[in-house]
Amino acid sequence: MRIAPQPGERIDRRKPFTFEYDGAKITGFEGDTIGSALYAAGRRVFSRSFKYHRPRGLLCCSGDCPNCMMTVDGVPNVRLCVEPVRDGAVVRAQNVLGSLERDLLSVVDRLGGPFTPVGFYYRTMIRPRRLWPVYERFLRNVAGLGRVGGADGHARRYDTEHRRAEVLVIGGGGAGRQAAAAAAAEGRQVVLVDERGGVTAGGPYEVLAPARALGIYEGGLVPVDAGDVLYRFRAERIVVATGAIEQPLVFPGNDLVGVMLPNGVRRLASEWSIKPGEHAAIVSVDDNGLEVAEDLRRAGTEVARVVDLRAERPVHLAAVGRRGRLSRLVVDGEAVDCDLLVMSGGRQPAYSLLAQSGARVEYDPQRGIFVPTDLPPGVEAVGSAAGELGPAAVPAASFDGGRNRGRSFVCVCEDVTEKDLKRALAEGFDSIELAKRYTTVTMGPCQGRLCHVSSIRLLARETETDEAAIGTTTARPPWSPVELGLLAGRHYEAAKRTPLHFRHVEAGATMMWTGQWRRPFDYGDSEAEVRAVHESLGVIDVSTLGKILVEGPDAPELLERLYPNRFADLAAGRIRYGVLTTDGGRIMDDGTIARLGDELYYVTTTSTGSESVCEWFEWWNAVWGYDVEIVNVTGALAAVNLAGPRAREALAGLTDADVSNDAFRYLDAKEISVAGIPCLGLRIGFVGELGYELHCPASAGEHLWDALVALGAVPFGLEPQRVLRLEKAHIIVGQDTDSESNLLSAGMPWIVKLEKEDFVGKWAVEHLQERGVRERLVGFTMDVLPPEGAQVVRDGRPVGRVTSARVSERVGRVIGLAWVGPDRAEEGAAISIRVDGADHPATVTLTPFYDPQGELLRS
Amino acid sequence: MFLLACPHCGPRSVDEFKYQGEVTRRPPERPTLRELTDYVYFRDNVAGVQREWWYHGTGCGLWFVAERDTRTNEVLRTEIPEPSRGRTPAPVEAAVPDTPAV
Amino acid sequence: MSRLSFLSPDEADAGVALVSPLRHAVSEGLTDVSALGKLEIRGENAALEPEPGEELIRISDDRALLVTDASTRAARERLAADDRRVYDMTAALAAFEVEGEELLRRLTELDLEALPAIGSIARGTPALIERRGGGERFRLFVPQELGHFVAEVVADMARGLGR
Repeated sequence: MRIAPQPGERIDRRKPFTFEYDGAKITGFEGDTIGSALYAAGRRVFSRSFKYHRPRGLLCCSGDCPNCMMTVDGVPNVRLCVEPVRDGAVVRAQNVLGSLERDLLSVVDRLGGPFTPVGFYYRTMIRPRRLWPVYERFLRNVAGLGRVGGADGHARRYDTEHRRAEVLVIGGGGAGRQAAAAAAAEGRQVVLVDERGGVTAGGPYEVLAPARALGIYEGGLVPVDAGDVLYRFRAERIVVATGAIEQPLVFPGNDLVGVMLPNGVRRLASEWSIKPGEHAAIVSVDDNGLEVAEDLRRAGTEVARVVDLRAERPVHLAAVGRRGRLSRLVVDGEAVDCDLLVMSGGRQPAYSLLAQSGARVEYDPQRGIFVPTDLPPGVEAVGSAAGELGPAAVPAASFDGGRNRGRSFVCVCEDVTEKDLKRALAEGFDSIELAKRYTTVTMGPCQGRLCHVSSIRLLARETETDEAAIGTTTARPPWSPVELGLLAGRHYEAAKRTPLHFRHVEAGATMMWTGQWRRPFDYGDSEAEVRAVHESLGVIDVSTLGKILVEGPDAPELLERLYPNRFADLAAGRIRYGVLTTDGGRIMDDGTIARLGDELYYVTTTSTGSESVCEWFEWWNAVWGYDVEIVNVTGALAAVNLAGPRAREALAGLTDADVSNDAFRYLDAKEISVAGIPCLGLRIGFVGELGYELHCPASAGEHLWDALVALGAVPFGLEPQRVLRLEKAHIIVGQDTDSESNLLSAGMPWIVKLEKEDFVGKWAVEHLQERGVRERLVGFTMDVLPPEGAQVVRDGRPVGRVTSARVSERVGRVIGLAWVGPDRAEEGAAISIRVDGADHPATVTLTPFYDPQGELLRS
Repeated sequence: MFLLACPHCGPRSVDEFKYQGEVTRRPPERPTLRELTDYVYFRDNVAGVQREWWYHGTGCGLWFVAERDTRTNEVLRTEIPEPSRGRTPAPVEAAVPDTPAV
Repeated sequence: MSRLSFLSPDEADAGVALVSPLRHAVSEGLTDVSALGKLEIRGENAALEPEPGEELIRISDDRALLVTDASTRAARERLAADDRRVYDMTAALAAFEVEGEELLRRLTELDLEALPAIGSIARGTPALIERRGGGERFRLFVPQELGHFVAEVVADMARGLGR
């Protein structure tokens, strides 16, 4: 029911909007919120409370309380009092079984009194133990607020945008607008963030509204919730003008439908021109509450009784209702019939954002408010948030209802009553932080806006101390409820693709993740791919290998100190295998190092190691300061490994260079032109057959690949590569080694040159040598395929584990690598490996399973 | 997401950087097992100002040292450390420790 | 063959088809300029001057990226000096141009008033970003292996802006 236009009216009656509420069509006007339109349509019950399912009506009309939360267009917990009306919106009540008017779960309120005190669940639902699944199902059903549908999370799009502001003003009230205008006048770039959208744009500063600042983080970071977009502001100066929050009073029946805070009533009557009620009473500690009388009279509501708590000190105060709706106020035995009760417990500075940013909060006993002090640099407070508030009396912590014994709510979000807090105290939870965690007071959707001060005041009275001694709880973001989808933003998963990626896709490869890389698992037939390499010619994309140039006069010395083996004596044009370890002795990466010139080395790393190895080199060199350039050229180059008995013949067909075994020896590095492309050719034993690795400009990779495939090279994927490398007993760092693995235990003592004065990891090896290793990595053969991680057992007890195992057609058995006790690390030693609960015999091998002397590689 | 000033690039969000732990002292000559273990595994873990390594990985790729108050994340200064010029057998300060992956 | 010629696509024969890392991810509003020549210059760069058709982006006192419309060969030879080394990064970096500050603000936290700069885009991919022509046109260089991914992100963000 709308009344005649009021002086402060904010609606445009010419622009109607219609939405659906529980099946009915409701019409509001531009400027209305869904909440105000429902109130105008006569709705009074807006929610059911969290625990007792008591009917609740509009309380603050400012977005501060949980009383009007409903599900709008599938999004739960929308505060209707600040949600603008829009055509076609579908609004549904939540947290009810039945309807808001008749909620079956309200039985908890009627019967639950003795069964639902604070801590009830903790103590009761733990026994008998076997009933827990039943309790759990029940509790999960009734717990929580609102429901998120399974697919709803992806129905909306949320974006994130980074913004900068010289001055960011939070709050669009008078003080905020004034601060924004003043900063703009000084020539600053100013952005003002306002929750309500009442500030008009187009002035000397930018206005972002409706939008909510969620917190103040380090570095002037302020995330701002603007609905579909999260703005991450970096601000040089932050001005907090969040105003003050009207506080309720604690008395029996203070949650009845019809009990409201002053500003809620003021907005209903003056901004939206709705008659808030027929007969009203006011109980207030300040002028803010009393002034509502004027708005009410203008709206045609009779003000039946005004209790100014500065002048009157009633002993008993209670609101009495029928079916959850207010019907009268009782003050010291005097009853006043009313359907609206305006309560004002004073206003508290909304200091939460300031406290998050690091400010202290101090209690002012004269004014009964908490005031922020000691603001960190770059953060300011203005207006009510800074404590600039009119005079008010300090309200009693709670009022006794006398003969009226309704519940006195301290926290309407979580249904925490005065009695609950007293009980928590009696049980020893006497600090505010403990009482908070035990009773959940301040932990609901309002995040303490309406209950923080009340609970502190109550604790102070009950412990016979004062508010300053009780102190406040820690303020943490988010300051306003926020949708998780907005915090998550868009889902992007960085994928690295090699220059040959689309050739693999076109060839029907099964792609898999290896770290961030997308790589072919195989092209459909792993066994055939292995066979092709052994019998004819295979080609694999190894562009993922890390590739680092180390160049400069000190390059040999740097590598000598980073690697356990020698690189200063490596001849130009030759290649040597290298393993990197840490000073703790851990194996961190391996690869080949080719010397391309006196001062130039080409280092390859594992596929996942390119960045970490480059960092590692640069880190040490930040300490040592050698005259070298360390250049990560991983992405600059495509790389393929051409392997198989036909490899030389194929390469010869694509290059003018002499690739005979005398001119291009095993472990030679040569710059050659292949298929018209400049390549670095590395003749190495990547798999067990004759092979050449060709590294060329990434953009020419497809051309090279196509030329090799045209010559009959069969593409092979990672899985066949695993088999081929395992046949040579090549370790995979990170697969066969872990944080405990070192050069001695992994069976590479030959690589360590202890005669060098220093290298990273030298001392660890020396100490290991003295103490001996606890485990050894060995090869094994057996007849069944154990899963990776299978146990090596002795006398029924685990004494080791399998790290790699594959069926090798070529070897004719299952081959693998395993960690075993040092006493088992002998050629031919018998071990047992547990597969599917049964122990199977396996035989230890210390040489490669295939071509142990490496004759094929050298041929 | 505090701001960290890269000596090259200026203040940037800390998520562009990789934190690499306290600046420690690599033993100047062969350590005993206990000394090695101390150097590799033990940290001061101060509640206060700490000298620490940072790497501008999603940026210019610079390694530098920051003095940061671990209680407040206030960064007092950042600097490119003076290298030992390689010739000395081991740096006096600012060596690279290893913490094995967990 | 010249030093490190295997890094340089323009050392390939004329018949070799060179392809862009972005060829399967170009969307409306994203211009692929990956074919530009790019040289990483290590060593003092204060005295360096780009020639016509070249652009020099200084990353630090001793690290810079030279971008050229032409073949990198001439520049490689010209710039190499005793105290300076040149690495051909033409194939290492995907490069593209996009329009609009708002799009960039969704991509990166970098200060768009302080470009060129290297920083994080798309939550963790390093990129070198510069402005083109003083307006709202931006050029980005990213590791080519992440180029396709970044181009997909850019297209998604453009959709989020209703483009």
